[in-house]
Amino acid sequence: MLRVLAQRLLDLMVVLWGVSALVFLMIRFIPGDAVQIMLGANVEITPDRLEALYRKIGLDKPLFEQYASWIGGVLVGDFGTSLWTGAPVGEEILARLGVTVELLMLSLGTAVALAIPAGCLMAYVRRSASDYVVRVVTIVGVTMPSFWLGIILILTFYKLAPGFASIGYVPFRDDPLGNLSRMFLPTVSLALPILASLSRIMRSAMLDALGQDYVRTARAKGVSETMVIFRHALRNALIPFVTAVGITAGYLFGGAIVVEQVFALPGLGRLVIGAIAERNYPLIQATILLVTSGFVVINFLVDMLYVAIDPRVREA
Amino acid sequence: MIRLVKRAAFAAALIVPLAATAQVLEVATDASPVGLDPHVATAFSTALVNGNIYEGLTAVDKDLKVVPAVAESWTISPDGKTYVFKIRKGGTFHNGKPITAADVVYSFERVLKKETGSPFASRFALVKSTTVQGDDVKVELTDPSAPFLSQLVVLSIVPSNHGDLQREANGTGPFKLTQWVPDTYLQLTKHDGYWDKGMPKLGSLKINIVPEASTRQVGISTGIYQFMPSIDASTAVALKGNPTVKLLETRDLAYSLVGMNTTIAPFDKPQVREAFNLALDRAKIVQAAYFGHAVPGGPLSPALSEWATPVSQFSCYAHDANKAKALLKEAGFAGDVPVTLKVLGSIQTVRDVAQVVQAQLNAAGFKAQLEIQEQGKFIQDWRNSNFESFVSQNGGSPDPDDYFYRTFRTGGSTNVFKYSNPELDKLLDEARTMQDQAKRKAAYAQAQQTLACRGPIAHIAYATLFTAVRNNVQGYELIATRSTRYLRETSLAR
Repeated sequence: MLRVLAQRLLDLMVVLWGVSALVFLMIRFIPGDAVQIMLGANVEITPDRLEALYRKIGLDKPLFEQYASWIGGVLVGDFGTSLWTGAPVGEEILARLGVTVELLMLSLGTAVALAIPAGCLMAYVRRSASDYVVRVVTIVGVTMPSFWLGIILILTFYKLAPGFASIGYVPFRDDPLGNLSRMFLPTVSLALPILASLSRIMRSAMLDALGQDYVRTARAKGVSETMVIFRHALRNALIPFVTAVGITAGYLFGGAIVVEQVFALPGLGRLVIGAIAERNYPLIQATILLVTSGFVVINFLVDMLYVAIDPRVREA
Repeated sequence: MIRLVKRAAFAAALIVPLAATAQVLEVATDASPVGLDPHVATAFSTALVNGNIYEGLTAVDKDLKVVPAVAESWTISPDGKTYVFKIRKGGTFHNGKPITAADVVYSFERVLKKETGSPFASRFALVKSTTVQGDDVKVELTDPSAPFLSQLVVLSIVPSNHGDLQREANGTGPFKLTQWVPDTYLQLTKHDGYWDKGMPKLGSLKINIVPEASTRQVGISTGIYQFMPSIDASTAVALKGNPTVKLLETRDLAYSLVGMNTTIAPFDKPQVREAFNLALDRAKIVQAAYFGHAVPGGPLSPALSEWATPVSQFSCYAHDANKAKALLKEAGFAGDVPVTLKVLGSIQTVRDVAQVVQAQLNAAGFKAQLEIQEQGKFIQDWRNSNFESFVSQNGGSPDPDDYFYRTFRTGGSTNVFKYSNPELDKLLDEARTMQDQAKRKAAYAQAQQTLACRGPIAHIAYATLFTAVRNNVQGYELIATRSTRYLRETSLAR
């Protein structure tokens, strides 16, 4: 167990170092830079004045020097300062992390909590009329992009229940109810598409498990159908499902970026989009590093969950 | 006990007369400011914030007339080369320092100093010296300059003891920056030391950054936001008929345009540029891309009614596909002329205009291709003249010289088209120093004729500038320059 942990930690370091170099270079290859974006199009400026602006934010130095000074800071926990507000990048990210984590947990929690019973139910009633109806509904769900869903939800709720179409964000500790009512629509628009895909995965995993020999044996010895499904089949069906949840959790961040944009939530997604649009290099670099480590950590947690669910993995 | 105190406080809050509470105006806009230094940052998103924090010696009012701001009044010498500005008394900067003549001189020096990297420096290239003269400031120019007073609007007055202006705003304006949560909101609070006593009427402005158009629209419809500046035509159309929202409108100084590189084929040939203009049916573009909320325009905005030549007087503005084809033939092209238009992708209206332009070109002897670009890439290509032609939107200025000189004069600082016309150069050089208004008008009329058909820019349309406000917002006036100066006179009705 300890060896696995150490191995994973080493992997994380290597991945992060690779990502840091890649991100650093890639964002500098995007045409246009912080100074040009600040000036905008159709602005007159002489070359020597332009140079002075680059010098001010340190973009006049050679790439290698810029990278060395940045990575040197990162190693001691200093991610640099945001180009325009001057606030330490770490602080700016921390201030946003809560919003995104809340959104991701609410969406993933809702989706998982509903997908397991929905998948089981769909497997149980397979090939009946209700199975087909639910399958059609989930296909629609899978194909709906969350940004579109978000806009439609805002416009619909504005007509039907204007109270729910609140925009913006209040921290949970200031106003728990206001916080949850504002998170409701974003959560729905992020959770619905993944709920659809997760419940389909749960259904097929469950069908797979129900077709196994041990299920037939259990039924033959007179175990009740509820016990068969929840005690025997579900446990086995959960392994592929957990893998899917892990992958989804990683990609969910991509969805969160868009949903935060639509609902004007001040989360990490907004931060990184803004940072890219402004070419705020220190901010982009730190955010991407954070998201990458998040991805690696989730993968690690999924592996650990296998161990918890499946005794065979534990013993191997 | 604590609960009791809280209840008492809550009750007290209810009892305090409402009039005593400071009014907050909830503003919604699409983008965060990029940098705050008023002498450097020039993006529109920055202007919305800085326009309420900073002021120049002069300002422009809703009729585009120059009015006093930090300068109370001024005198101009008969030769037009010496200006003496009387500086307001009794006002302070946001850091509490009284406004003095020395700060004004400092601000001039800061803009002109190379290390500042100010894009405004070239507009003040004629300034020979600025000196403190008692409580006044004397500015000497090398040549008389007709647009000088209106250009002073952008020269924000900053205190000589400021910190890093990119991060700590510090101006003389009616509001001061009190909080900035990046990509979320900026809080601007009433500046008690503002020189114009009684202004601003609002207690604070909360500028919310809301990137998604439909979210902003729902926000103002439900009253979450009360003020949405410079919205596009499609949002305005959607808000029309909403009884709780007022739409203010005026003619925009900004315009959509196609810029052409006059040093590479095919736009190096003047006939091709004229054919391009003939190929465009501007009335149709206005219908399709602006929902009718725009007017076809020439080199100057119709908002500048004193200066602008009516488009009916430009021969190439009468759409004529056959004449366009004939001109292309005359220029030596057989078959359709391939052209690539780079499109500024960050503005919806520009993308829409580009599509209509493409269709019209293809029906008039061109074979047009669009290349929609991300903002950063577009700006880089623009600055490096790396384009055959491009579709974009430019902000305008109240004085023709400000736009014409830098854009069309040989070697002008934004002449990315590398256009060079010695006759026009001479005309522009003369016009900027003319003191006789009638003569100056005639000169710019001639310049417009030269530029309209064979210049490097096909001017397309000037939109209606919309600003949406809730019904209870009072006292706000739109200015064609997109300045939000009248927010200082705005208040909320109960």
